[in-house]
Amino acid sequence: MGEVALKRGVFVLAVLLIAVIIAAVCLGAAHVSWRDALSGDATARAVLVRIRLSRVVVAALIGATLAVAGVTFQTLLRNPLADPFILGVSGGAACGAAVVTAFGLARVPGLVPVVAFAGACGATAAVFLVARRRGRTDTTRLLLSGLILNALFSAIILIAFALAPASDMASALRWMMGSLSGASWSDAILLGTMFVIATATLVFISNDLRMLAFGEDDARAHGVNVERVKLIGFGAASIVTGAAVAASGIIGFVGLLVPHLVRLIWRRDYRYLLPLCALAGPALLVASDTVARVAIAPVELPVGAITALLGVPFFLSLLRSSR
Amino acid sequence: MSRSTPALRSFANRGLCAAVLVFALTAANPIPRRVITLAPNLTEIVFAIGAGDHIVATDDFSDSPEAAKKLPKVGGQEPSIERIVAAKPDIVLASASANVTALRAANLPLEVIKTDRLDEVAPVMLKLGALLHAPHADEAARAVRDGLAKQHRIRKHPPRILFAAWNQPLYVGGRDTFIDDLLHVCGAQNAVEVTGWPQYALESVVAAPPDIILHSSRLDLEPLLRAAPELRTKSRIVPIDEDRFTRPGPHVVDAAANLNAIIDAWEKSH
Repeated sequence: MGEVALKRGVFVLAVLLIAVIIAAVCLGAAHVSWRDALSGDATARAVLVRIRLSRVVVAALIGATLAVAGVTFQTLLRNPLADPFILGVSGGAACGAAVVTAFGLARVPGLVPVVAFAGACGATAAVFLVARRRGRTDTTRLLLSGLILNALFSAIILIAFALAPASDMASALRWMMGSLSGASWSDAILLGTMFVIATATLVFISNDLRMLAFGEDDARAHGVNVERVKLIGFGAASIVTGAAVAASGIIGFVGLLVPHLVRLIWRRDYRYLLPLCALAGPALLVASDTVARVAIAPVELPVGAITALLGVPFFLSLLRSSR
Repeated sequence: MSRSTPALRSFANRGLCAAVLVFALTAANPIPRRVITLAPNLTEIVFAIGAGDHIVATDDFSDSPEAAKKLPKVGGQEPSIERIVAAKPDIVLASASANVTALRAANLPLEVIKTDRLDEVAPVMLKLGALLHAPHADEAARAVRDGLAKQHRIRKHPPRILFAAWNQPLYVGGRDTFIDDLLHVCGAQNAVEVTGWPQYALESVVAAPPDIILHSSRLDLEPLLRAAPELRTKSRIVPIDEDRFTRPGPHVVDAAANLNAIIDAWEKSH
């Protein structure tokens, strides 16, 4: 397999993604048609363009972000269980949001997402500082300190919840559960910019990352500046994860599931995984969010649960047939 | 006594029997002197029926009436069982949403009171009145019944009203809830057609904007209105006192009067 397989994979996933997006923008709780929106009906336009389409675009960007971050973490840590949240990124974000809520500041506009983002980045930096010894970052120590820091964050979250005013709990819960409700075009622009910058950076170092997948010593022997690649890779993946969490809260599973799905179907080379994940991630999350929106409309379901419900059976059947 | 007439003996026996009966009844069902309330609406009800001075402690959220603020507190979401036991209550009043298992396990004299709906308020007042031998239960229950009857409206064009319980994601008050009951008393129609307190599709609200959107004054609706700015012009957005509108207690009549005033103002502007 080579260029041809990659091109075929990209084509299949691109068609799938487009089909999912078309279905997503046509299905919804409100019965309005695109024909009305295009002929100038203000309500139809508000529902379809400003509420539904923006949500679909944000879902696609978050799906892409989490999948790309996931495949990067798995490659860097050479650990199939790594996902964007294992290094305390989610814990840091949720912790920031919960503490702000406990101090009764949840109603300050824009404060919670900013603090969630700062928490995500701060957590990654802290994990890195702990894991770094004599100029080297040890992968096992990195994973372990991420896990331990996550435990600390959940302790802080639990205490913050106990202290938070009951009426503000829902705000903190949103960060824990993850939700795409209320996603706006400004979220989409911010996320889109972050995603493009991070992905361009990762593409730039993708060859080094591919070498790293075979082991650090091998990579060094091939002239890869391992520490620099690690720093750039983790930095880019963490920042986009932080941005995704700040926009939608923690939507688990996409970052773990999508890279493995892609690996099972196509191949393990990071250069191929990156574009394939950037297409498969949005397809899964947009499909999940559409099910969450329309299954028992106008009531909405938690999108994280749907992601797992859709992804797990597919993943398990693939895993079985690949043996 | 051996020379007394049978009639006298019978009378004495009857007196003895009555005394024993009264004693037995009071022993089995003594008047509760020390009451603990574990929900703000139950605290308000106990004060309203005139048994407020028997309350020895409440939960943290009980802040009304004024006298309830000064009472010892036993905790919020998860009240301290130790403190409750230490307060030696004759009766603990809890709502159905409380941690009943933990309270039962502590062998407390627990009474679980269900007041989820508007028409349960007056019967609960009478029930607690009998339980606590409260002096003003009948008056309080009558005040609620008569007050609600007085606030009852039938409107030619019932406004569609949405109660936003949370902004992002949007949670709303659906059918078969306390807020739904209030809307019906005031001649309004709930804009939400599903039951309970669901997470709700914003696009459904925008596609058919409600006439009035009610939200707690503690809840900032801005994030929602930024996502759906047309609601600012199409709906009348009114902040309300959440405590009044979500506590099924003696203030339900005030809530209904308040809601009628809101709807009347909306009708005038149309």
